[in-house]
Amino acid sequence: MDAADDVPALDGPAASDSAGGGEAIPIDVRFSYANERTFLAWNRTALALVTAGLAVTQLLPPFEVPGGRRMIGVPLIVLGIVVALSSLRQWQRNERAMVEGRSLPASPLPFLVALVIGVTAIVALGLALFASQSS
Amino acid sequence: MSDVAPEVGAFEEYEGPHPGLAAERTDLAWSRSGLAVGACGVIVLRGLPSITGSPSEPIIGGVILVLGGITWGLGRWSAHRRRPRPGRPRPVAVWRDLAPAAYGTAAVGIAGLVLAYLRPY
Repeated sequence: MDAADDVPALDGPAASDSAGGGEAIPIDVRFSYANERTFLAWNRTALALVTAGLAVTQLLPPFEVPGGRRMIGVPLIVLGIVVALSSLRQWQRNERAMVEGRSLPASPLPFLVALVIGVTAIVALGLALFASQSS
Repeated sequence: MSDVAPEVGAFEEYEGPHPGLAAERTDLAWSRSGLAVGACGVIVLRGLPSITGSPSEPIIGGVILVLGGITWGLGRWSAHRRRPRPGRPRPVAVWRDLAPAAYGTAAVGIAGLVLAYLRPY
């Protein structure tokens, strides 16, 4: 399709000369759909984090340490809330970047998820070792 | 017949490449998301008491289930409203299409926090 030649490159300078006062330039809708699916995937990740936190706080038997289940479950639930809200903002930033022809902004979510899950896993390991010693 | 996706090469007003099956994959992602929220509500409403033997939390479970239903319904309605028409592909998502899903998941998390601190230990 030769019509594709009229579409500005997503990261090229040709996208900036079609500034129409906030008027959206024609973008490849496949990338917009992919952005939407990425948001939905993050949203399901957030829901999985919330569900995992719910399972830890509600289904596990109590630990030896008072409030031990909350120490693991609450960070997961809070992370799920943060991811749910941040993914919406990240989707908007990606969409704006594509419309304005800029390169996609970096996402803080992978680092945040890795950090919180890693710290929570260390806490869980400590709880497991502590509980095994006292029981 | 307006529900039938336009054929390849039918996008006369749209200047970009043909979206292919990207819109269909996006609809499937919406279905997965709605089902995930709904299943979470069902688990809290019915699964938790039967597994733990503890008293049910019908209010919180019902709230999550309703939130899941709302999220799923809004997603389906949004997909239906944004379905492709002859001559142009499906419109891209805007803020109001996605915000209910994000706020719904965050609300489920807040309900989970309430549940975590409501139970005596």
